[in-house]
Amino acid sequence: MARVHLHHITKTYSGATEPVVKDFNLDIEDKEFVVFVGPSGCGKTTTLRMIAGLEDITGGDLIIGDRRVNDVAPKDRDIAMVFQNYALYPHMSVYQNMAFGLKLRKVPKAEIDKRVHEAARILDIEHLLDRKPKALSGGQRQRVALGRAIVREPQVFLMDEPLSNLDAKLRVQMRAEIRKLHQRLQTTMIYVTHDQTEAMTMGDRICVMKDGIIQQADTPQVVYSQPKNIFVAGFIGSPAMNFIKGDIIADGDKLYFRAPGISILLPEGRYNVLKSSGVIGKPVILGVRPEDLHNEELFMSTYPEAVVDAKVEVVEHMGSEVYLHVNIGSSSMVARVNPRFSFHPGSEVKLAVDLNKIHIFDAETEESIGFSHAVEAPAVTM
Amino acid sequence: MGWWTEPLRRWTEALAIESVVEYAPATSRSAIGQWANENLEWYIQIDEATRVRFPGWHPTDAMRDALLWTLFNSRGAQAGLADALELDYRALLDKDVGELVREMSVAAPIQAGSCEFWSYPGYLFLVRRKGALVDTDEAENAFAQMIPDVLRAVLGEGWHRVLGERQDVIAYLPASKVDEAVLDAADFADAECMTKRLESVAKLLVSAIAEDAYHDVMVSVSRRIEQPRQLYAGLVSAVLAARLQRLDNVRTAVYGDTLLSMFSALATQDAVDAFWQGLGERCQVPVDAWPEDWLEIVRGVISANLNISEAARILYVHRNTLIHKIDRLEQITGYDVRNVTDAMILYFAALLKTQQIALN
Ligand SMILES: Nc1ncnc2c1ncn2[C@@H]1O[C@H](COP(=O)(O)OP(=O)(O)OP(=O)(O)O)[C@@H](O)[C@H]1O
Ligand SMILES: [Mg+2]
Repeated sequence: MARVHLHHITKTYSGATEPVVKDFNLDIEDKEFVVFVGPSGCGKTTTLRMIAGLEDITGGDLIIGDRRVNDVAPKDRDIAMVFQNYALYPHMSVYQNMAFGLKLRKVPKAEIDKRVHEAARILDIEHLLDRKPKALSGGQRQRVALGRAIVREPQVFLMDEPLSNLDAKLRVQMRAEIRKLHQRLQTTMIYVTHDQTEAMTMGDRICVMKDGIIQQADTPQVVYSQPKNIFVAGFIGSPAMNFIKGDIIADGDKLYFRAPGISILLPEGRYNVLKSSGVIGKPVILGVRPEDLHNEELFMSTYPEAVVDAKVEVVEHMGSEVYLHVNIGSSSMVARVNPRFSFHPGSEVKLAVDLNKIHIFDAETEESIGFSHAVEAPAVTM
Repeated sequence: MGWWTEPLRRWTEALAIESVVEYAPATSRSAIGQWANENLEWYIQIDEATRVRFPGWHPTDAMRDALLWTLFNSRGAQAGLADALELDYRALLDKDVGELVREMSVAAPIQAGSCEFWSYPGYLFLVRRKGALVDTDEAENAFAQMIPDVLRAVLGEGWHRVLGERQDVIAYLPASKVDEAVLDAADFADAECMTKRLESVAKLLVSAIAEDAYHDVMVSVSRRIEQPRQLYAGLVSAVLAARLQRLDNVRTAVYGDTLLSMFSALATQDAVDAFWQGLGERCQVPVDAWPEDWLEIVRGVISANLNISEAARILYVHRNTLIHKIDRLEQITGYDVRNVTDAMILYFAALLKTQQIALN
């Protein structure tokens, strides 16, 4: 059993006045793959290092397996770490590199040999065991770095941006490998990244952080389709969600979202939530993902009251899709549209907003006002 | 390798002659530190069991005299080195940046000892543990045992020593061995000089010690030490880099790369006050009211060499978001971090600010 539970964990660096991790609560279950994601400085590394024991914990309880480990030395926590600047010893062979940590721990030779070969087999680097790291490609080095962690047979793997030194293509490939590795090893993994795409594609659950506080921790699908606040909504997804400041206006028994140059009839299914949260007549922020702005006729006719006039500013061809940078009223937005239509900068287009997928946020608290739609999530294409 | 290796290498190179270090059989030993001639070949008896042979060389008396003199005097220069380092290190720990800088120009030769691994030029690596979190005896021991192992794995079989109560470790890496310790040595153009390589070795040490010895350490690297009499200044420079590193809150520091932070640490309060005041002139907004993330923005843009796309990548924000932030920072502060001179001023301000925070 290697669950990792963080209960009310805080961290204040010595000399600092403000904590950098605040009341962090997260129960990571055995065999789970959890990704910490958030902008630079939000406390991901600090949290991971507290779990590892490299940083002491200012407050709260850290439980690994069945014990509280706040005061347990890192080497006794049964964890293994892989960092961005992974440690490969240049003048040792791959075999010696993988064996080194075990040798330090005085593991018997035969056992070391067995584990190294086993890890090498899993990582498909058996043929490289005699090479020196200098003679390896970036991806192979990365595998050796993982191998060094695997041979320890830890209960929990901690990885801090292990792929950020790799080029984009290799990174995509290694993401999949680490996922596969997780399935094979059936161990708890905690993975830190600033890259939301990486988080979305790798985690069973992702934990979005900002300023030392968990903003939302859930499956990638839920975080994507039901972001709890403007930060999460804007951080997850690429291109980012469009935000428009406006007001909810009651007109007869209908509710509209209105902003300069924009008027959208809101779906009745959301009236109850909107009314009970008391935002009618108040400023809100409307969130629309780029893929929820449509230029197809079918959409226009289905949602005639959600059609807006847009002026094309920039057309960005991405191959399988086109990003249209448009101005709608006084807001600039991005729409992800089908490349079989052609668009020209400066031209006028009509776009329909998929009303089932809009997000409404309280302009003051920036919290989401009810979720826009049921859990059924769009396929995440990134 | 022995204490004689380096002077011997220099002599044989300078004279373009050959030398062979060999075991001295009991039958043909002469007095230590003396020349001997056997079968028309000259020998120096280095110690009981070792002698150096110079095949085919026919030196004048003066030449032999000069060689012997430098050889054995450089041994003297290394006597008791480890103990001397330990003593000096303790004394240095209490000094502040200014005192350390002055100390560097003090000619205080360390009486260096018979350490097999010294070969010049080279660098001292100072490895210091950050606040030990579980301070049991067992953890102390684990540290003392494992860190040197990791050091050896990274730096090769070299000289190192555990120092002081906190069990800091200091190690010597000959310049000729640096490339062996750098995984990506080939990636650094020659012009990118030693500092980058040393930085890379220091980083490797930090992560290797974390991964394999489970300890959080900071590593600082001394200036280049050309010869034994520069050892003391070298030690001081490593301690100085370590001190600045704590102010700047970074895990690795190479002495030559810490010049700006040294400068800001040395600035008088008057100079610092004047700087902050001048900084506010362009737009009357005091630094405390600057956007919260100005430090991050400035550091990001600087470390990306003012390349905004790269900075956006480093800071993990969208390029447009970063441009927006930079524009806003410019409106508020009057300084545009995309402009080299403005960037320098902001960078210096960021350094001062970081050090201020560290000191409080
Ligand atoms: N040793 C330290 N002493 C003081 N403050 C620190 C220390 N290490 C980190 N911090 C501060 O704590 C905050 C969180 O840092 P942390 O490294 O955990 O962020 P992160 O989310 O991992 O960021 P990144 O994506 O840049 O790696 C930052 O404001 C950072 O400046
Ligand atoms: Mg980090």
